[in-house]
Amino acid sequence: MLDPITGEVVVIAPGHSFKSVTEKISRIVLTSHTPMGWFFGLLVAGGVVMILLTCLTWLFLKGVGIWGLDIPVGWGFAIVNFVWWIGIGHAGTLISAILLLFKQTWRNSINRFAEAMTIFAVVCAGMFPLIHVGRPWLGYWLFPYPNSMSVWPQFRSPLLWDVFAVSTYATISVVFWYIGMIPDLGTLRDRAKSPVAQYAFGLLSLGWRGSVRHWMRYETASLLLAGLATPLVLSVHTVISFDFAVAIIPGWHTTIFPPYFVAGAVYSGFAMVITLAIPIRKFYHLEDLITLRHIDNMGKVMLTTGLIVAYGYGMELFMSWYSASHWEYFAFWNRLFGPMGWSYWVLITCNIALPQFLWLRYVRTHVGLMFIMSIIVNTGMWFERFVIVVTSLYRDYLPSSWGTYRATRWDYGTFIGTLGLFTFLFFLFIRFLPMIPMSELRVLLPQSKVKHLPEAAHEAGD
Amino acid sequence: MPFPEGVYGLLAEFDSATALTAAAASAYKDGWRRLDCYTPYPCEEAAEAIGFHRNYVPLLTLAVD
Repeated sequence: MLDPITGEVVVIAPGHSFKSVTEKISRIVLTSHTPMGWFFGLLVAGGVVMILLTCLTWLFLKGVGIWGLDIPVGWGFAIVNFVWWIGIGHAGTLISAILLLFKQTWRNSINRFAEAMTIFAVVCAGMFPLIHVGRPWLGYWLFPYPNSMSVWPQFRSPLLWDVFAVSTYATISVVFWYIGMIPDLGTLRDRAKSPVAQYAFGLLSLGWRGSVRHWMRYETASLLLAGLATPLVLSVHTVISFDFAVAIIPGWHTTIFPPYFVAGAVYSGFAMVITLAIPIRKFYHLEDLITLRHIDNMGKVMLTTGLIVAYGYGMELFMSWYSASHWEYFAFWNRLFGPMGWSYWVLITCNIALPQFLWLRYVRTHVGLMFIMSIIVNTGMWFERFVIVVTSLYRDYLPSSWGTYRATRWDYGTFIGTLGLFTFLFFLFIRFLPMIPMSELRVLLPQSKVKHLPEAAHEAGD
Repeated sequence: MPFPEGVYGLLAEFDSATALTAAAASAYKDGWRRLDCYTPYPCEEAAEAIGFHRNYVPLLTLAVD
């Protein structure tokens, strides 16, 4: 369905009223007939979470030696997964904060679950550094707190900045998500039939009445939080790129890392939003609320950020030659043609070559192809982090210190386990909370606008 | 608008944001101040019609509104 004025696909399919939007979304949460597919999905995801728990238990019993970490590759899957997950979170913040400030109203349908995705991705990401420290029960040593041992974190290390960046990011994501949900929680409280749901939503909605004064304060709060979250979209991944860029390892020590990491983060994040949105809209029949316009727009964002990432790869290669540094040159030769060169070509195929199909409108509006594309990009972005972490470390300056890297089953198990945890949390979210913001969709309907008609003033008010 | 004594308040329902805003504006013009509008989505015009003003919290947090 094309909009006659803009020529774009419409954001919400026509024929919806305030009531139909509210009913459609609140029914998913308030129904007493939970679909069997949901139970099945939760069960499968819960099974994968068990893999994670097993891996973590074994890790805590035996130590990080069960992973494939060794000298020279002292950072393996844990850091790869950490960067990958935190990057995925960035799309949620971009959609909820930056697109809000730019008044991109099409984002309204997808922003709630993109924010939820951010939070769950940060949960998965934050776990990795914590379990990587070896003695996770001393994880609080990461924070500078007064103690009698004179243990103090190294403030000049980007790893410490990471602690602050990620914890700030997690906090603001949760606050933003919750504040945005309050009006919808109020709606659910009013519509809930069961006393438990009424009580729970009543508590969570903080006495929301829908007064225009509430709405104005709510809008201001959203804008303020968006203003606070916007720099975080850029700063969190910048700090994470410093973990690498500040080191003097060839292949890490480069100034292009911050912008290239941020673009990569948004790239993989949008891919993950598509991976989630396509099955959800199909399963819950939300095709008229999450329309092809959303899929199309997200495809465009992916194409753009993908090209920025491609520029990053190109510039890295160029600088390895132009810097005339022997070590830098070798690091990249090794990355392309060394024993682990296959991983670089997987990355180029998934992140640069195949996404060029996104230039075609046919591909961007084809749901099945976009789903496949999102999986490809997520794979490619995982390999990007793998290439950066592993291929830079395993052959550095001295050939006598060269080694290799082999992930163990515990590495794979932990990674797959976090995928399960993410899915598990997401299943709980779509069942118990409104996954599409009802109040923001109502604004998108044409009947929500106030028309300035002189006769309207006449008939009303007396 | 003289109301008989004992009337505590008046409640009215409107079909559209336009009608609500117009009613709120004319009530405000007639001198009523203890008013409120309830809407299912943010309606800035109605808030302005009953004399709602933004405060300085956004300024204090250095954010643009």
